[in-house]
Amino acid sequence: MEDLDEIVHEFLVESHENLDQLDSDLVALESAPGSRELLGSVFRTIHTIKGTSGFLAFGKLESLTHVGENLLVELRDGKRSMDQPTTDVLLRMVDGVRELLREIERSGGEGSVDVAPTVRLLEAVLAGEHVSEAPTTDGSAQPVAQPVVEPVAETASEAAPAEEEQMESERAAAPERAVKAATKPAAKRATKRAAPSASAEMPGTTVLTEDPAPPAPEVPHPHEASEPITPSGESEHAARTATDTSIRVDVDLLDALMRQVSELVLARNAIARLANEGDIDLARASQRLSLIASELQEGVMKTRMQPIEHVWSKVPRMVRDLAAACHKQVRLEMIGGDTELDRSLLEAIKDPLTHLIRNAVDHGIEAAADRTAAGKPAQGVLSLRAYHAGGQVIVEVNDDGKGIDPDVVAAKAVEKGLRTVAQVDQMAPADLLQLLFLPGFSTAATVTNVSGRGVGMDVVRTKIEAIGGAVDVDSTPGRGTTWRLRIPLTLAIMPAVTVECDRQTYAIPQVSLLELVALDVEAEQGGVEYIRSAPVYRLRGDLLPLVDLREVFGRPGREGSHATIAVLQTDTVRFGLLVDRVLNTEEIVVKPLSGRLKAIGLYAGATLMGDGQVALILDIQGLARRSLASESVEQARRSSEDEHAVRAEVEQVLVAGIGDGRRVAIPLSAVTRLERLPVDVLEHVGSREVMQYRGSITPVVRLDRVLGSMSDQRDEIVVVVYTRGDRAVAIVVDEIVDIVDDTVTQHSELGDMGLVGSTVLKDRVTELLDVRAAVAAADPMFFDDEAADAFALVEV
Amino acid sequence: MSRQLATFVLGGAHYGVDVLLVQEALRSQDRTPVPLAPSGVAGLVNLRGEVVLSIDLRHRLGLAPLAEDAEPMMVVVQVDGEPISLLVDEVGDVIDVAESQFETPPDTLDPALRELIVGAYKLPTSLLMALDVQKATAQAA
Repeated sequence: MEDLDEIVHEFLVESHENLDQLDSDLVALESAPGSRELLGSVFRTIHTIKGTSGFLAFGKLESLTHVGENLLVELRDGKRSMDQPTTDVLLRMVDGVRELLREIERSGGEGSVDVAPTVRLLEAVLAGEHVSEAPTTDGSAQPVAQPVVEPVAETASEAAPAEEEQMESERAAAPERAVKAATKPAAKRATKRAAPSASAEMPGTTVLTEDPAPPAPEVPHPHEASEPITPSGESEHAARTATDTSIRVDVDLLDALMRQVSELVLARNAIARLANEGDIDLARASQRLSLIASELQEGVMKTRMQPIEHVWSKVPRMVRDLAAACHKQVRLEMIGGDTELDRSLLEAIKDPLTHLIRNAVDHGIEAAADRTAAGKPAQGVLSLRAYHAGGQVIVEVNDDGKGIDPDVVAAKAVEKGLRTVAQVDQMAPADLLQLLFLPGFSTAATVTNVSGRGVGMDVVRTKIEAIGGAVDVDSTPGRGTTWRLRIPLTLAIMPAVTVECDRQTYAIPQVSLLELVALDVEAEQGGVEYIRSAPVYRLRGDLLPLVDLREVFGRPGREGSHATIAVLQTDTVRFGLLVDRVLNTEEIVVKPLSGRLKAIGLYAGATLMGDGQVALILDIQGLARRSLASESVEQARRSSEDEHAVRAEVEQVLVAGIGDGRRVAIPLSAVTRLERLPVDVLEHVGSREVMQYRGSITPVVRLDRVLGSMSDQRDEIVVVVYTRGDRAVAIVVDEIVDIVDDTVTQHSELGDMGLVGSTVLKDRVTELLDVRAAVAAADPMFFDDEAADAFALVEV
Repeated sequence: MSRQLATFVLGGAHYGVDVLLVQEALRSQDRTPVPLAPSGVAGLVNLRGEVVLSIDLRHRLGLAPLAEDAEPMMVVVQVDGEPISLLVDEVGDVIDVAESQFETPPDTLDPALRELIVGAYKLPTSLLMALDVQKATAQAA
């Protein structure tokens, strides 16, 4: 019933508009009687109203417009010319139509409006001058009915009885079945035309209604539609007619308004900032401004909102056709169709949604026989759900099909070379499902003409991410799969956190932000630890990979440990972004970025700060992909190298500074521990320096002295511990620079005392330490047992 | 056939772009640098609420950067319907030039610059080099 009311409402809106046009057209026609264009326009308007009124079972309206139409047909066909009586009677007809429409709007029915006199007048005009040709309207109805009657001849006979009862007594007996048959398809077309024109599908306009309610998603079956409309008592807005409460607005105008409101929000932010420092009156005024701006912003945003039903309206047909094509039985459920979204977003989710639905029907839901065998009802259920949650709109596509087997996904990922066996073994089932979103992934065993051509979920993800949304998947094998799209409410304005990095301000969309963690100033390096060269942070016991924004941007590292970790979540990974400091949370207006900067892939747009400065909005997905994917790729490379034992080529070395800007590489395999110790741990045995390490006296070698460089005296020493069996040597260096991969083939023979050569690491010439020599300098006996072993071998 | 060129000065030489492409010329503003942007991108400026990309023409033309304390000017041009600000040393007059004064650049010009400089107009006192705005603002190398 609600849908029907909606149709009636739209019919009224459209008819009112058309009638205004009709008035001026008729008057214009009087002075230019021959204008076929005007006549055509008038004829179409009346024909549409007639068709729709028949469809909606407004008998009086139908009969009135029908006679009027007959008259217009004769005018159009040149059988009569426009004269004043004809114009008069046509205008009267228009008045009659108006009156009826008003009544329908007021009470939902046609009430007691009497159209008989007007009908008689029209007939008189018709008959008066054309007695010979068309004695009754019966005859003249033919040409109208003829063109449309043919294709739907069978529906006419079936639908006619249902309508018969509702035909009212005063209705002229003349128009018989032929007319009804004609109204049917006409009505269908008319409504179909009416619905989209008011919806997103008409590109130029959007409809503003006082109660933004969904227009009819689909044309209901003729039988349902033919039910009489029971007057629903007093309508809530009886005082205002449909045309008063709803207008058509050019979307460009709305966009312009939106932009201006965005500017206002910026100005408000600036004033709010000033007011924080200023006097109380300014603060008060600023607060009011803030409130009004927020409301205005919300209001303008609402005008662009449209129910998701606009996108869903095509789904039933699509699912039906798909199910038929795949020989499956599918029932479609749609919940929350009135959930509203910005129209640009609506447009953007259309394709991904279609893709997911196709997938669900084609791959998700099993054939009836398989379902029955699995103990499930033969008919599969596909449900679409839309709802608001946490400032986002969630759209779910759920099927009760066979689900996705994580093991199959894992096997596929390995087969396609996207992940290694070792990697998938370590992944949780939920993480395995995320692999579905990798480019070049498609699990369909066979390529059907519906889906499974390898353009898969990665396209869905890319499209959803492009509008600042996210997509994830839940699946239970045997029970079904749920795809979940998270979509921001609007594109233009979003809540964000502004952060500072290297004196520049950047905005991080709040959607991606989980929490902010200040680095522990007390702890060494702020609590940042390293796994090899990858920084991590212990966040409530879990290791969080860290990405330093300065490093990403190639800026110099920050001094001290004053930094904040913004814990960010993309749909696949969680990571911490190190920024210098966090400035504020505010609503930012997204400004498009020049196409010339899109290729960088790190920025989602730009925004203006309160002080007028431009700030870049970080693209968190892009950032993660750039910083983390490359790392994981590198890790994958490393681990695969481990697997294939190609270590001879690449060796990891510890790069240490030894003063005078010299760098020395120590093979990592020789290093057991790195220690930072106060200088007073060093003691002496004779002329040798020693230290106590793990309960034994360990010889110490100062690398700078061995290699002849000068380093500053410090309070703290950095010690590289080298262990062999139960013997250890402590090698003192100036600082630990990094751990890097050293390619043996790049080594140069160029060396010196205590060195085995040199190479270039990280763009710096680095000396390769002769570990044996260095260790022997501290503990000549260190390798003795090995020598003994060698002798033993020789002796045998 | 005469046309009008909006002129500006870069490193002492005069350059011109079609005046119809020029939206406005104004004093330079604070620019927000764009990390990892192609070199030649001078940053982003706020032009009355619009975020506009700034291109350092000196860099594009292979000239040394402007002295630290010098204030460049901005010439905002429309390229593919998008405003782009060009950083120049000084803004000059709009000059009427005739096709007869035009000559293509000499073969001795660096090929990279030949892309950008379509030719020179021989003015009585100096040469006015005509700049291809499209190429000059294209993905900076």
